[in-house]
Amino acid sequence: MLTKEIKSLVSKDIRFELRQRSAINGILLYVVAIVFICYLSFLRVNIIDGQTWNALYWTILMFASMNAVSRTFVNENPNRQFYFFTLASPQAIILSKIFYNAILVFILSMLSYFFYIIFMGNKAQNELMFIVCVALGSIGISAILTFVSAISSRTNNNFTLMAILGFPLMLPLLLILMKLSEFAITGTDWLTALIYFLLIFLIDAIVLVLALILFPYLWHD
Amino acid sequence: MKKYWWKILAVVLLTYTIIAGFLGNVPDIAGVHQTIRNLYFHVCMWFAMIVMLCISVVYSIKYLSDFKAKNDIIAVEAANTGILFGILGIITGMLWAKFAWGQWWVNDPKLNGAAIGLLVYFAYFVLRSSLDDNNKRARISAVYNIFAFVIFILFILILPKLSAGSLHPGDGKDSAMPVFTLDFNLRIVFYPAIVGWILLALWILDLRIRYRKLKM
Amino acid sequence: MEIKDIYIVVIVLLVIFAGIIGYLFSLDRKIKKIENAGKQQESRDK
Repeated sequence: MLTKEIKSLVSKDIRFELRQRSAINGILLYVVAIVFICYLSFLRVNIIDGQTWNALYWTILMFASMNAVSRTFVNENPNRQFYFFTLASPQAIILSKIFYNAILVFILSMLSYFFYIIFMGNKAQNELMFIVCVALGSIGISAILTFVSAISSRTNNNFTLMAILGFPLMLPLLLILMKLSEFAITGTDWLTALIYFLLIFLIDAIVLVLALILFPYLWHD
Repeated sequence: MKKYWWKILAVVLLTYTIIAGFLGNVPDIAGVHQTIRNLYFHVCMWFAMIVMLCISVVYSIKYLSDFKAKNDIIAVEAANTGILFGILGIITGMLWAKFAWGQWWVNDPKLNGAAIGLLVYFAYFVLRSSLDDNNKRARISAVYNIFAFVIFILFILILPKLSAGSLHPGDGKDSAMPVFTLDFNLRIVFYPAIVGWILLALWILDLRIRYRKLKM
Repeated sequence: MEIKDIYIVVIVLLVIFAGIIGYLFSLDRKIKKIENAGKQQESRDK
């Protein structure tokens, strides 16, 4: 029952998105622009070592994700939105939003990675580890940001408040992700990296459960 | 709580901390030497802050279970007091850093983590100020409080993994500090100091809560 | 024995501390007075 709700909610969101394309186009442009700017500014310096590459990547991804997720709870058509939400349970709603955003963030991350390779060369020695790390990270980032977006949608100042609330909360996850992707870049073996993977998995799980439990309280209005 | 005994106890313990903290014997640890005395102040501030933030989250949970306004008041004031001690902790930490390592701020995960923690709770107050309706404000900030607290605690627990090899005393092994290897001389002041500072924090919290209740 | 600097530090800190504690106590007493006045009102209303 729950999975069916979630599936239909997610497919509805995806269909809306494909029809309107407003979000995806804007974000795509954003990513390309930033990567290009970084490329230009590093032309002079000529040395992009693994660490800089890594740090820049996550910074770009963070800003792009915030941009992307800030739109989740903006009701373009409040009546229709309200109708949908009376049909589905709050758990289904939040899970579907998180899932949708996770896919979105993952697509963003892969796009960024792609443009990164084009402009600045591929520094990651262990590509599979990098991608897995980013995939797990997308879930966590999406969960935190979606939840914060839900909170700030209940107030009036949407994007600033979301940034203020979301940014510090994302930092712990980001630090671990950065450490892990650094491992992927330097080509460390999977065994040492394993504990970081577990940590990310743990954070993802905890944040998801929290969001599930707490969202209904936000919703009763 | 209007009984005075624990407030007197706080005063006594803290007076003892101040006197014994500076005049007592301390082992001469390489690198920090006499500044280890800050242990009785800086570290205790963190403990007091954590206690305050725990109280805050507990009362946030209580609010979500019964929606009574007084739970929200306690949650907010506890967060307030927690931030106060957090700021004091960072100031004492910076003082310590200046004398032990030569700089006011080092690029150390623990310090950055502390700053992030404060940012999280500043965001809590920003959130509260942007909501007008009392019930809504209480409910939504309670939700954020719980969410933020869990992430904050996770962060604190994870920091040692990330900071293997930082300047902070006691990293790489424990997260708070090497309590097990604490010299006896340090312990006789440190343990009472913790209790004293926490009691002081509770006193300030108590005053703030009563003041708020009167204003209601 | 000459007065070591450390004693002066301790005394200054104690003075500041006493000031803070004194302030807290005065607040405590003020609040308590208002609370008691409120309570008397309540018991009289009953």
